[in-house]
Amino acid sequence: MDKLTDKYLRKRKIPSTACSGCGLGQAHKAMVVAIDELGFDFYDIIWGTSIGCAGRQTFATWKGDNFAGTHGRVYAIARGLRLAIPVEKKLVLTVGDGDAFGIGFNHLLHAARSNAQMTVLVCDNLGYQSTGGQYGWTTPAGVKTDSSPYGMFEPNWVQTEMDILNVLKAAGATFLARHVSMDGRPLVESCKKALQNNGFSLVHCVFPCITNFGKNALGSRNTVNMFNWIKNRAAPLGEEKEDTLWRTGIYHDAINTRPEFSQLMRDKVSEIQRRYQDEGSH
Amino acid sequence: MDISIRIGGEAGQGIQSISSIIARTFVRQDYYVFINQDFASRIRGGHNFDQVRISNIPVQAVDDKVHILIALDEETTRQDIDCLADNGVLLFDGDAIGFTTDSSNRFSIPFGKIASEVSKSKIMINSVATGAAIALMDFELSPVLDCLQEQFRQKGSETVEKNQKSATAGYDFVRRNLKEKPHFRVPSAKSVRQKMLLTGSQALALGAMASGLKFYSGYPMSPSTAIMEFVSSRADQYNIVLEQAEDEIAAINMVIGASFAGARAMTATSGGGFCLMAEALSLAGMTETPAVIIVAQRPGPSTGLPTRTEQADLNFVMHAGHGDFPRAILAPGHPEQVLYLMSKAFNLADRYQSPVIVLGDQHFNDSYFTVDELDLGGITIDRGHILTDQDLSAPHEYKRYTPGESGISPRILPGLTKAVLYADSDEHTEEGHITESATVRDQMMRKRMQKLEGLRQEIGPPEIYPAGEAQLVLLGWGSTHGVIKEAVDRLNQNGIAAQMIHYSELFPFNPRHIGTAELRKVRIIAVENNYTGQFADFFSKATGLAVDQRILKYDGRPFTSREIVDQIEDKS
Repeated sequence: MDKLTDKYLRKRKIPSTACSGCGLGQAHKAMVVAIDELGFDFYDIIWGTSIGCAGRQTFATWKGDNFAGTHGRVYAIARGLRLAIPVEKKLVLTVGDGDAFGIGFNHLLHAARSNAQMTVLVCDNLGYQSTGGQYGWTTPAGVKTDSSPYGMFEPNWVQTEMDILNVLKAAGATFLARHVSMDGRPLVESCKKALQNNGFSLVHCVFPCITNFGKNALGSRNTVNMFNWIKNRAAPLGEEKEDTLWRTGIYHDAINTRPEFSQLMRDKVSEIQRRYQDEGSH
Repeated sequence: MDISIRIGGEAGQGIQSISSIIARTFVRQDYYVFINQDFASRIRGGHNFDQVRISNIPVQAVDDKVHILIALDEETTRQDIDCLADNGVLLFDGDAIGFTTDSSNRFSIPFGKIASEVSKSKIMINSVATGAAIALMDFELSPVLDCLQEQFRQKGSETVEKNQKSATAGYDFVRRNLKEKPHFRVPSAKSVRQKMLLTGSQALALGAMASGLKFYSGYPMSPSTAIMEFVSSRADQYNIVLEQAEDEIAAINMVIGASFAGARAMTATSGGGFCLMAEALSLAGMTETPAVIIVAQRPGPSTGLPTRTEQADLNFVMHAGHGDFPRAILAPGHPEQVLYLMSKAFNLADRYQSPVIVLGDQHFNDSYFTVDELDLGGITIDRGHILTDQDLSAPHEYKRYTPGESGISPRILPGLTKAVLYADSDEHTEEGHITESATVRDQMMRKRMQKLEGLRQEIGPPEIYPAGEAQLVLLGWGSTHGVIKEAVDRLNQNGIAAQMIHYSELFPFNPRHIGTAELRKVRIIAVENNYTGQFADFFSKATGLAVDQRILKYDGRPFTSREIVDQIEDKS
């Protein structure tokens, strides 16, 4: 991604500190390509994260304004930012599965409820990998990790009957999609849609972690096997097979159908100010 | 004999496999080994090292001089070269790093080439390096081969053989090509004794398990995660239920729930996670529910330096939680005391129905210590005053918060007696019902805070080393135990009568444990891994003694004894 690197990323931070074979770069690239194809420049986007592999390797490479908050809190920080930054700036957050669907889930739900503009790219490496490999809220059934030595037996958030994207839809999110990092073009298209939504968008993107997930779940750090393991368990919505774990595509598209949080707040503020002015003029 | 070997390279190059084979080899040979792990917050790459110190007397601190530096990458040759002792040797692979030298202290050995030739695999570089280091110490190879056999047995005989061949080839290369005698000589063991090599985290987990831990809930956070992993790996053998929580708030609330129902329960986290626990800590205080919380400190503020060390959360854990309520704080200085302290933590929590915090830090939690023997004799299990149906002649008259001896109210476990249990986070009556009464509020505050005085009497004295009179006292707490002790030894060898006063039971503080009158004549120097000297402030306030000097370190790295000795002003 040489052309895009020059245009959008800090050269000194490329390559990022991701392990060799990590699939995060695919998700990262898809978002940068989407930004480019929509004609945004680096100063149009403010890129944020909380903590963990997903954010650390991406936000710091961004040439424009960027920030890292504390674990799970970036959605609340983003809502504050949203109120105070110029309306035309777009917020992009790359976060991990533990951050979004675990420790930060309460804040994420409220970000969806309020429909604050932010494009959340949840880069899902299927557990807590930067602390050495513990299970998380999307770890597939049966997978052994350091904290699930008998295999993951608790329910997770991607099971069909209790899909986290349905929860977020019910909470008010206006754009939701799911992909795996090797999806390529469809992933880029989802990111573009997400960015065009003046509201809360979330793209859930599963990517392979070779170092810890590969070692724990597949018993090897073979990159090709790990990529195929994910790819073979993903299928576009409507084409699911019995063993499909990740149904990919757009789950919910209601972009620009609800007032955006900061816009709502600005409108209310002007309304109240007008009322005071009117009262004052009498 | 006191030799330090540093293995430097990128994360993922197998630094730990070298340090662990070397360490286990010498522990088996009756030596004392201490390993300090210094690593960046990333899964791959960066500059990292393990430093293995080998001595014939107990060592529990890092040395600032390195005798053998194994460079697995070029960065190590740049960053770590200044640590080499005068006669120290750098071992490096000239082919990979791109420079050669004929200095006898810069020994180039083609790790990669040897590994490829002998075992057709570059992964074996680590075993080649291990063999080479052993040759530099003029030590025999066979104990290393035994350790490799044990380490790789599960991977099959082919892997064992490849590793052994690689180690032998590295060993032979040094013996053949080293122009002079090896610089260091580690004599063969006189006897082989059973010693243990374990980390602070492992010791803490073992201590909890030996004390009857039944429920663990936690959220991954460096440097505490290893505790959860150790408990997880042994949960089946010890009948422990482990639940990973969605955040630290959930983790401690689950602990409080399980503990309320009678299970011995614990969580572990670091400072950032403990921030989230503060609300529930106060809940445990109000409802008088036992809870044990390990806080493995790392440098803050905020995310700070996730994989490095600091002692800057003492003020925080002492004051965390809104309102006044009793708590106890312990901070082990070495693994031998951990079993006793963890058992004490659980017993105090149960007996005083209060939260107990155990402070570790990255240096303590991640370092490997050599332990002669863990004393299980020090472990008692005292669940405190719990009533069963046999104790309750009139169950309907039971009141959860009846003020008893030292403010402690006998508790029942919900659902296990005919009595009914009420608990409330609001201020409550003896029955546990919400109240706004000023009189009841006064009674209840006094009842709860009375437990603080009981706890104060339970807190043990500091370790004073050596006994007798001194002109200079080094004051410390928690993980600095090993290094302060070493500094005191150094000072005494130089004719300065120095003494260590080390606290591992910190709060509630009992000033009667030390002779304040004698200490007034002595120069007191606080040694702490933080910016302000948090314990020094606390100690001064509690004892009325002035702390004359503070030696503070907050760069995220542990002290060395030389650093401490060099910074002491006015040694006369």
